[in-house]
Amino acid sequence: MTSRSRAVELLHRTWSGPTNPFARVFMPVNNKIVGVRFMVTAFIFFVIGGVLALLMRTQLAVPENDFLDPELYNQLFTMHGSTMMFLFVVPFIEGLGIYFVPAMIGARDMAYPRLTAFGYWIYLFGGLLFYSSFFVGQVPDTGWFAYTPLSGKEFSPGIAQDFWLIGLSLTELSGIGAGAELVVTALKLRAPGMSITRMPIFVWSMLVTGFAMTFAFTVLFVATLLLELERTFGMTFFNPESGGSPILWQHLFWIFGHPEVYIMFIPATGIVSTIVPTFARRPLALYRLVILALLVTGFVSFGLWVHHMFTTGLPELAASFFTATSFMIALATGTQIFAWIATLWGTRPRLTVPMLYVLGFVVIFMLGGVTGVMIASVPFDWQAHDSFFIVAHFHYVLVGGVVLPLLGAIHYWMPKISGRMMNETLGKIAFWIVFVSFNVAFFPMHIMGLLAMPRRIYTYQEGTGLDGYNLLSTIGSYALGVGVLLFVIDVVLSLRFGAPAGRNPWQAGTLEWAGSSPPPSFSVETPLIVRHREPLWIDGWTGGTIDGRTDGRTDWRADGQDVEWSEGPQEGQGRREPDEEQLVNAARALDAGPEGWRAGLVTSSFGGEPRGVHFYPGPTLQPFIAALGVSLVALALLLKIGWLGIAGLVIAAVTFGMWLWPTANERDFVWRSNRLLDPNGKDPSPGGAEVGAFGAAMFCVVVSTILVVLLFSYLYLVGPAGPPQAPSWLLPAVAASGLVIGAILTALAVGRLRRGDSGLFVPFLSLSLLLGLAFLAVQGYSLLQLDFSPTLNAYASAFYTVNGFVLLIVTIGVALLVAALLRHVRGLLEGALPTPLLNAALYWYTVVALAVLSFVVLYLVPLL
Amino acid sequence: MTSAQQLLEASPLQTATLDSLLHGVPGGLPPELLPGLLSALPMVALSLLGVLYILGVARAWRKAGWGRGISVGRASAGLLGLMALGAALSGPLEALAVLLFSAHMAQHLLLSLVAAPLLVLGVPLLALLWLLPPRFRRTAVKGWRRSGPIGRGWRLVIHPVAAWLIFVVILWAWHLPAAYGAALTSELVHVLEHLSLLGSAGLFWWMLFQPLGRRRLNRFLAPVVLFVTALQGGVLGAMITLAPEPWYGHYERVARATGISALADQQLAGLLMWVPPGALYLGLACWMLYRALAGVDAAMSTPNHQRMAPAGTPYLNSLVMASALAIAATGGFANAQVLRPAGPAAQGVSELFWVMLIIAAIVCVLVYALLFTAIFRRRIPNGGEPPLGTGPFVVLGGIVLPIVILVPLLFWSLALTAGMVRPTEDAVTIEVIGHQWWWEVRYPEVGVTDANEIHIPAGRPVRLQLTSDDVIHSFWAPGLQGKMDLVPGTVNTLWIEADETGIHSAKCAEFCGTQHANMRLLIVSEPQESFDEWLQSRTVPPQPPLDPLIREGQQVFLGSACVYCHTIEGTNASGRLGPDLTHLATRMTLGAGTVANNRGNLGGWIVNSQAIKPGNRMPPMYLESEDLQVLLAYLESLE
Repeated sequence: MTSRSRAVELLHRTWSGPTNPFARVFMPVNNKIVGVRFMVTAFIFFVIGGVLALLMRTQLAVPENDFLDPELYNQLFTMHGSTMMFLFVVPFIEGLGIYFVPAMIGARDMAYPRLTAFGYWIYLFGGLLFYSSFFVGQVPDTGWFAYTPLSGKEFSPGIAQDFWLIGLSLTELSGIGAGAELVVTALKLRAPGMSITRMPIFVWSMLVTGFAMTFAFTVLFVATLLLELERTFGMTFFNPESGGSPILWQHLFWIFGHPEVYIMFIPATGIVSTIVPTFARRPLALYRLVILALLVTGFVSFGLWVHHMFTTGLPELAASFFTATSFMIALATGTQIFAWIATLWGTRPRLTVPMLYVLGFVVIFMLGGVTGVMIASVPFDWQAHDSFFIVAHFHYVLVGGVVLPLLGAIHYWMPKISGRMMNETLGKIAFWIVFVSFNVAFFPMHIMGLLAMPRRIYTYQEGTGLDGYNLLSTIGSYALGVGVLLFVIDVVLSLRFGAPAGRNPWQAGTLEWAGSSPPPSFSVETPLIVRHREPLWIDGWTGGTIDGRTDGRTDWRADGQDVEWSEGPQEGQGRREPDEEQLVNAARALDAGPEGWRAGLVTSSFGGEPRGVHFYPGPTLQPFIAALGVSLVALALLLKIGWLGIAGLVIAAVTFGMWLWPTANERDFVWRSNRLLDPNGKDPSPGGAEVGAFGAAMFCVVVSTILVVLLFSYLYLVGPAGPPQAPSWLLPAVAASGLVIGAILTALAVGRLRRGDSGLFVPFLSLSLLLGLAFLAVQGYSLLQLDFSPTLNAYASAFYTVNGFVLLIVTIGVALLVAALLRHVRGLLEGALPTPLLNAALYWYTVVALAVLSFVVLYLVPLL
Repeated sequence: MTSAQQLLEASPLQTATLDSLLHGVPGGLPPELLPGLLSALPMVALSLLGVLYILGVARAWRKAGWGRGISVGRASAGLLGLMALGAALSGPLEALAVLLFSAHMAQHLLLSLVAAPLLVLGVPLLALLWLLPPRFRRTAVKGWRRSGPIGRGWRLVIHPVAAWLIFVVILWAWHLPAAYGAALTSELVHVLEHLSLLGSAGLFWWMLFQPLGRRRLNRFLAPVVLFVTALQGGVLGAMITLAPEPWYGHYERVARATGISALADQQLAGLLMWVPPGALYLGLACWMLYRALAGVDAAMSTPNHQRMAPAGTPYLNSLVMASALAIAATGGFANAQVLRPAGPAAQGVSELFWVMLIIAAIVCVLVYALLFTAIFRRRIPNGGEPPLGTGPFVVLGGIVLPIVILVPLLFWSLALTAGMVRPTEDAVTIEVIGHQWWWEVRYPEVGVTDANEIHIPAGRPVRLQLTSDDVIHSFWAPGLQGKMDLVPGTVNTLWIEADETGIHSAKCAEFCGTQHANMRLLIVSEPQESFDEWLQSRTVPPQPPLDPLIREGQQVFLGSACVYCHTIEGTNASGRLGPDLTHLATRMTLGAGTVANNRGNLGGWIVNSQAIKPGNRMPPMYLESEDLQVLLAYLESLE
């Protein structure tokens, strides 16, 4: 017992954050701190966005009102939509995922804690930058989808639109990072025995959302980048007068914008699929089918974007195809709704506040869903599009389908975060006010839409039959504000006066409830071994059995005598369950470090077998400084101050370099833990490195997505046959072949090193590096030789943008190769795995493939 | 049966062999023989192959037992694959492929998505090998040994990355206009095209199914590969479908002969590439993923499912959610413009809306009823399982029911859409140009320009040609038709028709800047004769004013800044930034529907329109009181 308490004491010292107040603000990287910061900040933005909405509703309460002037009204709806989408829902979901994905899979932190913190800081800076537009009187006013050419320089002079583009670009970066990190965390850091089919459905939903975020935000990032290039550097992509297309913006925006809806909605269904089983006291019905529904939703969401563009004059046949894919979403959602009903059937669940929010969700979301089916039909959408019918529809989907589950989730998980229960009575009052007033506020909007009230109008004329409905809607929206206020009061009061929550107040089945509330700084003491989907519901479940330090035995049963558990058939015992010996080794490796080593277990992606030990960085200023650097670049772009941009770039690059360069501690840790895990050195690649490799792979995915989107834009603007005059291909061909040779050399060098032969490593890798540099020089020179400038027309702009991006990613690749070479020369790769090298090589192959692809599309295709 | 194991190691490239058989070597034959031979060859070769395949399978079964060696499923897949190949290469599709892009696309899909996977599953070369004497069989197998060059090469090309890349690169490469054109003009290239499509598709499906030998593709990776494949196919399909112009000159030239528009044909082809393959990949991915998940579950020693009896919590009062709001809503619906159609297009949509609304209400009530039954019902039989059992309940309710409802709706919606886009000879053409924040209206047939009001003949279809001079606007006359955007640089067509005479309101529906709210217009539908009369009157240039007061007003107008932005026919004023004022006095409203057109409003508008429509493009005019009066008199005379 004493050895155990010593161990816990050590863990506490390792994992508890710094105590000095400055460090406590700027240095934490732990998921429990950063996750809460995300959620609190996002909720503040939610309240601000709500206040903006109330101002708008006040203006619309009576016809021909002059409470707001048209400019201000346009600014308000732009800020309201953008705030709710980019600064509230998505970051809140990220925060929820950052806090609870590790908790639900028994991990101690997210996969890349510094990235988590970095993501928070740039989100915060982006949000602040976005709102600072109010202080300089240059508030964005072209709506949250900022259609070109209205958002172009000609019709939106000044820097208002740049606030939108640049402020939101920062939150997009944050979203890309969080998405990738959630994917890796869910796939690599699960508790031993938690196979992918035992993963809680909320984690599944965050996995799907993480993927969708990685892709969707990358697309939006490219779109905003192109528009910013057009506005700031005079390039042209969206202006029809110089060969651009305003519709291209809509394609790019909605390729992001539609998945965005599901990025918000999928986690909400994950929340519902978590709350329903808890209060039904029964595992979710048809778990696998629900997972499939989530995956199909996530995938099909990328094939729906055109249904936002039915009125742009697209071919009718093509538009109708999107009716069909939109209907497919109805199947996936229908499956989930019926699975919840089947789970609840006959269980007479306790109607606690979270459960009420779930029921409210189903009731409201059904209405949003059926109107969604209606507007997926092309002819009806031609009528409903951009009318208040749409406003009603998406508020039913987003408030009913997302915000209500989020409020339920707060009520449900608050006890875990704060250790105190929220008040049930107050919660119920708040719920009913929110539920009823939401319908009062938004149901009339359906009718307003059918009465032909377009959206985004600051005023309407008397005698058009709209007066009563608008007034009703305004009254409802104020009541909704009161409901949300009550909810906030409930949260605040609970922090001080709430009843202590205990371990598992709702008697839920998932791992986040296994420990004390609030969780200790290290989250879990020893790896929790999972043998069921709802491990806490299994009679006799014990938290950890490693090393005999059994503790987390749960001593309650769901309503004792009423529940009968039957252990299923036992055939095939031990086939794929965690290997005891491996677990003991892993636990030893986890404990092996001196104070300050934050360690976590890595498991296999599908089976959940222990694979290795992973090192978590501790508190550091790096994320804050890097975010500061990136934000300075953004600010410089906004204010058009060159030196500031360069300063920011240098700060960010240096910090990222330091961040990626492993500390002596980390190297020592990796070396020692690998020795413990694999004493005989038999395993050529212990799994601890997989976390880094997955991260590198996700980075490659992001880079490839950017290039594919750029090429899509290029082809969209230029057409498949290319420009009439093909640019000279000789020099680019030489440069690209050099890269290919470099990639082959890298592959040879890495292959030899893996076999233990480091003889030719340095020359091969150096040669590859030189070829990379040669590519930069030759390709750069060939671009300088061209007789057209990037601002000439849309073709030239797209051509130079693709080339510029290729030069950028090759430069990064060269830097990574230099780093790998340096590490090798300094002997840092010995004794441990050449993981950083493998990651650099993976990135290098990706970059070479992308460079070749761009060469083919830009230079060869026009020759045909 | 050990030889079968050896055979499993070997992986024949049967598809490519087969295709080369089909097309023969056309190069060396005299040209006049070529077409006849070429058209006969596939069928002959395929029939031969079919017979050999059946013989091989029969022999395998005779030796190894019924359904062994090559399973019954594989044998039927092989035969079906051969039939699909036959259907693709000879028959109406082959003939149509030269005329229609979409037919050619269908042919390619049949080759690569039907014939190829079926043939891969059917392992025809394995069947053919059975026809050989055992000694030759062994020799043949030896050539495919793992260590041999052929075996190594084969393993390289069926490596997931390689096979996928080959498949995708070949697919995209053939769609380049140059390559596609070559395939259409040269028979040899055409054969090569089909061969490479079939062959690369064979590799792709082999990589996914791995019918023989060890699986090398992770079972979770296979669905990912399918997702990615669907994505790239979708991108190509989308590009083809959404392209503004035909990609391939060949089909443009034949289009004149067939009478089918090359663009429509191309859109159909793009959709063919987009939808059926997408559905196939997605469905297959779901199935494989489900199997993979089940596989992990099956491999774990402790099952996830726990049977639990329902807990006996006390009775809770049943609560039915009153849909009072919905009832209140019907009052509003009755007045809704969208639902009070005044033209055939809006009429169709209105009917669609009511049917969808009723269905939606039924579905909602059903789901609410089930939900509240699930929660509140007092005694539940069957241990808490929903009726029909959990699985069937969810599948029927969540998948089958929506399909049953949505598929007819989809077809209705399609039919309705098609009906709204109807080129008619008898139509009147009117051009509408969007400006921030007013509408320019032109009657190109007679060269008349007007603003903020459209006159149309009742009962006759009108073709609106929509474009914009600045940002994107959207034309919405809710009583007549749905919306269509006015996009700068593009002309969109919208068909409207009014059943009766009368005045219909219309407005801008796409946010277009500060005064989006006040960008309205009126559509005056009148009998054909009065429309003709009205149009005729507009073609006559107005006479110079006789009344001295009015003439003085004209001088004020021509002497002020008005002329920089406005046109009045018959005078020097020819500015184009603002609305044409030639017939200002006949308009019903000012400022694109902001206020009624009367003397007071007109004066106020001229002096400071910013007070009436803040942010509009017209600056305040500083005029002496007398000047304003004569100016008003002049403007009011512009009939």
